[in-house]
Amino acid sequence: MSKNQIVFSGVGGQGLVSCGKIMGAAAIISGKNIAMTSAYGSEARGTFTKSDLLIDEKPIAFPQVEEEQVVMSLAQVAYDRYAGKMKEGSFMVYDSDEVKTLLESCKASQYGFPFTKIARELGYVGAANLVAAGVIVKLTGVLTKECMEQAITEKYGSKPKALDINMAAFRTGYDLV
Amino acid sequence: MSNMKFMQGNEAVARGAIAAGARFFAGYPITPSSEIAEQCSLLLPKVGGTFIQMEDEMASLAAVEGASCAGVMGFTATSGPGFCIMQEHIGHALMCEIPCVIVVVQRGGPSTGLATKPAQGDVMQARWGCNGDHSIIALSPSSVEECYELTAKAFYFAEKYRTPVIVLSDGITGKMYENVNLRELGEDELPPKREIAGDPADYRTYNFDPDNIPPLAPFGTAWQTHLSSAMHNELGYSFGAPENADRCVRYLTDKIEKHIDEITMTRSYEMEDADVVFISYGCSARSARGAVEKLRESGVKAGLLQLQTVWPFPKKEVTAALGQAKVVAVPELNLGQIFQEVAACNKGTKLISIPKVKGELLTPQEIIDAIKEEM
Repeated sequence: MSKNQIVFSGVGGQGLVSCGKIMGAAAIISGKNIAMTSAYGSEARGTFTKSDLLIDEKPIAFPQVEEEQVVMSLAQVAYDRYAGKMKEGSFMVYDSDEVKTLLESCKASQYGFPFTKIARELGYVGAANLVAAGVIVKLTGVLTKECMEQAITEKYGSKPKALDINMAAFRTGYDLV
Repeated sequence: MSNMKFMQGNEAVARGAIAAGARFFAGYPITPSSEIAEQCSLLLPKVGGTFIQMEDEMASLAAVEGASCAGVMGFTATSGPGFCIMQEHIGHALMCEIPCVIVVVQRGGPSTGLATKPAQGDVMQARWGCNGDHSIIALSPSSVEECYELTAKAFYFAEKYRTPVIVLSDGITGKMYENVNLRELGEDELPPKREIAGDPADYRTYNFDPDNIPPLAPFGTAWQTHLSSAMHNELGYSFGAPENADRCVRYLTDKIEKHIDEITMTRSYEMEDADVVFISYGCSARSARGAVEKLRESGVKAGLLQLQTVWPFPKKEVTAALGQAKVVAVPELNLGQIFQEVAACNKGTKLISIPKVKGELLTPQEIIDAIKEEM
């Protein structure tokens, strides 16, 4: 199964759209086409939110994920939405601090790490998304580490402290698997 | 590759407007259009332009009309609920012939509806939202690149035909990110400048000739203008005689409809040998493109006619598509607003409406399932 249909899911405020934007920018740096769409509620925080990122060599016709090949779940509500419909060969990457009830029959290969705890220890709980992104980049090989680092640098380059923490979060995640 | 950017549709709208020469934005932010206002607040001051956050949508379009009357191309952006409020001024701009651009990033309606979810329910509101007979130009982008290109084109048409032009975006297209390489517009793609010459005493604000529309002289110049939203004569003074009313209304329709060939923009995907044809626009055209790819993989000769120009309705291109196909289907995020227009062109081809009003994009599979029995 290819790994170019990625879902970032959780609840509003977890930086899911931001994470998709950084990975999308990284894909463009590596010369690929991307499309990213999001679904969210009216609330600023707390309700189900997701971003769909498609990465492809050819132009992308339909800009939403049709087959969840890789799913990042940073909340139970997000995990529950996807775990049951994922196919063999796909990857479910979840935050084990937030997702406590796992689906035994889930066909995806599951990777749980305490992303929130790791991010808190690094100094910024909001960087849990990039810890998880590190795991996804390493597991899937859909992007190179260097392209991600360049995208993170471009995003946070003007804010040295934010750059340090987010880069550390990504690298920590990358080294988890 | 070097200029490839990761950009959102709404940002591309703002950049397209500025590339075309727009230097004024007045608006009242509303989901899912707010990034257009945000980007204008960042970008316009850098090019000597003006951004104003207004108290409401009616004031927003009034301010844009004012800028245009002063000779500065302006625009506003909103979504369905704000679009309703703007209708009065759209009619005013139509009647007074004030060039301006209104970007509508459609969301679920009626009313507050689904604030954060996409829809295409304002197609008919764009066409007939304000009172009285008239024609209108509405362009519908389906990608980030088209957000840039069609917004720039909207200003071209607005100035050329001296009329408000609507960019009908939607909650998917506006909020979507894609890689784009925005090009510089060619000299001949820029909106025509309002070149006014001759003896100011001979200048007429109106002349009611669809093929010779006088440019709107900016206020404060020697060429005096008088604008009236009542039926008016060449000088812009109120004139309610029956024959003049007839002349005004027919002219407002003719000046768009007589130039339909120039205003119509469509894109064809896999249409050469297609006998299963989708006719769609905006975000639903992306769903249809996905369906075409899947159907072609399974050996079905599917194709897509994408309407970039929604109004005036591209009858000629739609009629040709109907003529070559065994089955035509119209996917859209409403209950068949464009389907009805396609049906009016149809002379016996099997025609299917594929509507969706759940606040979600149609999926390619939903489209394929909808036409399966007809194939």
